[in-house]
Amino acid sequence: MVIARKEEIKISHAPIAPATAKLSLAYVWVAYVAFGLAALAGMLQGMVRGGIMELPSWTNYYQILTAHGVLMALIFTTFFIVGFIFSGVARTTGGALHGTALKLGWIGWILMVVGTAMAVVTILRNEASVLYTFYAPLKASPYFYIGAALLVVGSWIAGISVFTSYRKWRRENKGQMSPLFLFMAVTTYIMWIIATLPVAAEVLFQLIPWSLGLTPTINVMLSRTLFWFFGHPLVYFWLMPAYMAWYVCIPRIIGGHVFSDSLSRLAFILLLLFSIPVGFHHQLMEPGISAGWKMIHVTLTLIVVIPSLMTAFSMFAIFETSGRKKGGVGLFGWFKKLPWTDVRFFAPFVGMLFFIPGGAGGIINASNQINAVVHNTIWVTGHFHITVGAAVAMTFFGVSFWLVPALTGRTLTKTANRMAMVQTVFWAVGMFLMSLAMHTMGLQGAPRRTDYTTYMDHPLALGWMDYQRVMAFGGGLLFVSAILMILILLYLTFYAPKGNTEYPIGETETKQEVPRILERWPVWVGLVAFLIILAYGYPIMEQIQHQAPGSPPFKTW
Amino acid sequence: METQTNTPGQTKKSKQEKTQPEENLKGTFAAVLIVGGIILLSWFSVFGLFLERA
Repeated sequence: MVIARKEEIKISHAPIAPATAKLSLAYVWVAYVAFGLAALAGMLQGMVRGGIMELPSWTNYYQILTAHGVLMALIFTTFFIVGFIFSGVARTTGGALHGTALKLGWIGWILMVVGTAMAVVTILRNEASVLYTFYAPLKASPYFYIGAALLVVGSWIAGISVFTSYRKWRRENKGQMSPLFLFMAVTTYIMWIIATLPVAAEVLFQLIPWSLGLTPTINVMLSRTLFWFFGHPLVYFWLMPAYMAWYVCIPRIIGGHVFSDSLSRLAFILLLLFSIPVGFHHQLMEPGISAGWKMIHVTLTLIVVIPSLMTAFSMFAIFETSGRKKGGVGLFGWFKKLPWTDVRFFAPFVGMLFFIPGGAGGIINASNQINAVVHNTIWVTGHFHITVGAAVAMTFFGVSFWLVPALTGRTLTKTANRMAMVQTVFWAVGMFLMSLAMHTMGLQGAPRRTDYTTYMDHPLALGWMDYQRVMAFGGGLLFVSAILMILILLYLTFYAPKGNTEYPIGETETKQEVPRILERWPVWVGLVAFLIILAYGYPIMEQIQHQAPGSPPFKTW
Repeated sequence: METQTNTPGQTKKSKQEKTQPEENLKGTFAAVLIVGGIILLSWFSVFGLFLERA
């Protein structure tokens, strides 16, 4: 009887109310189902490209490439982000989402699941091998595009749900700055909704009518421009929630404090401003955009380096102040004092390390001339595997190890922590080998998105073969790690011992004054609109007015 | 004379400095310099490759 009562008390102290926890967990688990399927497709892709195996006749390289890209980069990330943000918003606004927010959260989930199912079925039926950028004039089944549109609309509804929670909090706490996590969640969704409007327009007004045969041709240049209007901020939609974990959760996990509230908020405002008007740096080789407009986008892209370096500084400062308090001396003595055996810190930390060459590679990609060295080579594939596949994914893994037990009222046991450390090491080594091989081959000119070929035994292409095998081996390690990840999460969801798991939310050491202007949204949304009109207004108008002959659809598979 | 006069804000600041000594962030400074070095080294390596192939 006493034990039962203790248990009851423990559960009642869960950081998130049960209804909200259920919603968050529903998003997180869809994310990890997609992750498992994507990891399988990715491993097969690596083995085929590495020349180690051949696919059966009923499937092909480009089909599994599309499955891997869509499921990993679009489905896994979006579902996890929405689920994580819901939990954090609930945690920092009293422990639960209010009625309307909760309902909107479930409507968003249903739309996103239906959209995902439509996209996945069309890919499995080999009717949508258009790769995850769904570039025209490659044409997929209309259901693929409708599915993608539903996914985006579902995420908007989730965003509106967060906005309603934010409004409620502001009403109840007049004159106060919002909690840091909530502020970052709102910034991320403002950025996401603005960034996805053009891709929704592309899908609704260009791709769906063209795919249904209602319009015979498509304006390829315009469709690609609208795609990259969304495509680059998509990267920040992945990164900003990872930064939220870095800025807010990691300080608490390592027993330290948020370094600077103002700096953290300013970094997010800068990301909101400069992650959208930069898409042409993905289109530097496109002949339809003049050099002047490309230069404006490249300049704005390089400004994003500032919030990234502010983040790097903040992280080191958090580690150093915390490490010194624990007795670390000398220039780097504090480094040894970090909790190296706690996977909640270790996995995101390794992700941060990957982000250093990832960021450096990003500056290379965005530089007009040297983009010519790496454009459309497998270097780019290596680049986004160390950014989204390592920095972001490993942060999401690290978050999952405490988020899932916090949502299910269970605990991360010592054994589960050890298994998670092994999983992290496998992922890190696999990603290191695979991406190093990809970067090296890319610099030698090996193209991305290409099935296994020796180019009629050309000596240059034969020189890539050893690297391709290393890449495949890395892919194998990543697959083992992915299986481990799912097993650990199954354990944490259904079998781990019941108990309290902390939802780590860091705070500043002393009360810090934050400039009010950081929370005046009309100012920042107005500035975003100005920058977007400056960078995109004229080029898009020109592409609509002086459109080149449109293209009929192509199905190359 | 004017430059030596403390405004109320400055007085408050100097009081704070007495109670809260500046945190030692030498390691952070060194670490961000290393990150900057990696960025520059990578960029110039690929730029060198571009010039070599141009």
